[in-house]
Amino acid sequence: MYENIHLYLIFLPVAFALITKAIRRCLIVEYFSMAASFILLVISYMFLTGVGTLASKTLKSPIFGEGLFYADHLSAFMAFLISLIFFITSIYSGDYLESELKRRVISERKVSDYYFRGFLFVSAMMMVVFINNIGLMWASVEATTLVSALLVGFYNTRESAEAAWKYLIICTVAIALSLFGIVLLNYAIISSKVPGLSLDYSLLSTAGKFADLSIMKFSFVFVLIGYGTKAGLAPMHTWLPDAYSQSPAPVSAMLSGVLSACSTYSLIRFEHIARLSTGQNFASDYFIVFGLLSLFVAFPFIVLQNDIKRLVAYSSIEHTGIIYLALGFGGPFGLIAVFYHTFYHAILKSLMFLTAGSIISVYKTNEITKIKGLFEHHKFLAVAVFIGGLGLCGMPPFGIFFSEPMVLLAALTAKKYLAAALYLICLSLIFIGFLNHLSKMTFGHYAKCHAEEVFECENCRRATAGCRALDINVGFKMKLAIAILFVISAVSGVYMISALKRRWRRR
Amino acid sequence: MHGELSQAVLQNVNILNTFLLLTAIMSVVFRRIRSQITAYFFQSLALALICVQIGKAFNNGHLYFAAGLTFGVKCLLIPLFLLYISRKTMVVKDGEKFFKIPTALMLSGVLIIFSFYILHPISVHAGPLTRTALNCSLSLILIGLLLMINRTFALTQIIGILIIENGLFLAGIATTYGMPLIVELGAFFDVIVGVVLMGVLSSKISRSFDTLDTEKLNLLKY
Repeated sequence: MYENIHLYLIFLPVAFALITKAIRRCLIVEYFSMAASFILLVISYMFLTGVGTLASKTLKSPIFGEGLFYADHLSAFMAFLISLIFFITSIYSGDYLESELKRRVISERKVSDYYFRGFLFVSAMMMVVFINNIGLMWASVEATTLVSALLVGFYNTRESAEAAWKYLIICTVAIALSLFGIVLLNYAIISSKVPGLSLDYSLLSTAGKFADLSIMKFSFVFVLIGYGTKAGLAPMHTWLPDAYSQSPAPVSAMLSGVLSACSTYSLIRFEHIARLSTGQNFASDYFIVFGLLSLFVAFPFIVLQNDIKRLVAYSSIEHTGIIYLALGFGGPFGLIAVFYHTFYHAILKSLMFLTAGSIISVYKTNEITKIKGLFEHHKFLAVAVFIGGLGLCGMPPFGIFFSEPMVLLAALTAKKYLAAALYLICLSLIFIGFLNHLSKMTFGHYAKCHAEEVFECENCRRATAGCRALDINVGFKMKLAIAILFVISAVSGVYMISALKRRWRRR
Repeated sequence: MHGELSQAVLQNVNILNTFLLLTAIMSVVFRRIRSQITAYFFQSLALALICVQIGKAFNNGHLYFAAGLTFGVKCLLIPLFLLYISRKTMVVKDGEKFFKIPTALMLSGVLIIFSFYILHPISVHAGPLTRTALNCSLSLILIGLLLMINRTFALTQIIGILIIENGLFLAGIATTYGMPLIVELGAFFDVIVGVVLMGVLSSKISRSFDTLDTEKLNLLKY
């Protein structure tokens, strides 16, 4: 029954994309996309529950034969995460695009364009998750870059053109470097003269030590740089704050929540193959160094940031760093922390990006110093951004509260005391910086009238002096999406830890 | 692997490898965008010829197919598209950012030596074809990166990416006589779509910034 589900997850979004292109009426497109993404969510949930019953991990499919696709619990988890975040962002997008239409930032044709690209983006990410061949996985990761570059450059502004250009160029070059790594892997496979071995993950992951050590080391380093750039590791992160801050808020949520997780997923698959030849410690040192570097780079930019979306974007770099640290420390704690953190980072970061999008649409500015008195005027947004931000820094009862100590435990079990200490210092410094920004935005008094300030009038789009149009309502769908994320992160944070505890006892 | 290459084929391939490096260095030297596109055309032609040479030696149909694809896409489609974009955006000449051209020329020589040096642990065990061609491919990648960081115009950066891509393709041929066909098709598809996207984006940039100078793309900071 579950054999063919991956095909639906890959090709249904393409069909949906074509349908949205055909409909073109913006209201119908919005509701259609909501329904369609809900269908994807249901299918991927079914797959997540049924993946354990699969006969073999290489999937047989009617057209493509056996061995093109591969699925295990990790792929099912990623597919579920992608469709969950996509469902929530497509609820949010309805109101978001309507308000952009009202402000006449975009035309009506752009709305169906947006959903078209969004569905293709999801399809490309599902391809990354389910493909078996390492080379084709590379091609799919490159495809996600190309499609998401269209989403980053969605607005017709100079800033968004600049952000899309940087994103496309830096990520394409990086991904090209990881193709060099994969070419070297192919060389290692062929020169090992093991019969029947190909670039398929299902074969390589069980092949044992097959490759020449020096080739595999080269290969791993190139792949790490490529996929690491796409995931947003410092010092290759320079495209990230630009791309995240210039794309529409729901797209930033998708990019930060699941796209970086997708490239980390590809890297995990590759590392699993490489470690058979190079041994455990080779990759983990690289992961730890890059992870700590990301934390170090994120810290000053978070503290000194004055743009709310860039603040959240730099926090993405920090959390990618934490995920890579967890990968580097390894062990049972480290691995649990990777999945746990990936999941809750996706949820909470989407929450923050969506809330930031709403705040920007209310205040008409990105600057933190100009956003004041959120609690006074918009209680819902104030609670979402303040509590969500605290959750992102690791306050209970949100999931990150459990995964960050788990990384620490993994570090202590692996006896990496220096890395553990640096990790803790960075986390607490970032916490202080983040809290400072959050309280500045949430509390204080916002004077609605600045007679001396010139602003752009809502209706006539001419610069006039006077009162800011602050009290527009935040749409119901926006609030719904934010509330869903909030509930998921709070409730399941508690539930998952108890489930984990039960599992632990049973062993 | 597939047996050994004859001495004559090896010599031809080595000459073509040298030609690849030469065209890469030429694109570091050239400033006019049209000459850059011409250099890229000849580079891709040499790549297709290498495919044909090795394909003939092993009687391998897959490599003929790859050669045809390289010729069709990289010698015809992409150069014509780039010419179209350059005419549309009216870019003629490019400027240097860090190094003057003589310095960049010397640096690309240094990069070639560097890639021979770091690939030494792999190439000592490799066959005669892999030994030179893998080094050439890494040199192409590094020279492409040098071109990208040293030039300011968007179109030259696209050409830098294309040179890197040629290097990757050469690496695929040099090490394993071509990646598996389906992977190669995926890579080609990505290159075409990527170049088209970059072209569209660069014409968008030239419309909204009135220039293709990427130095002027400095609105977003910190």
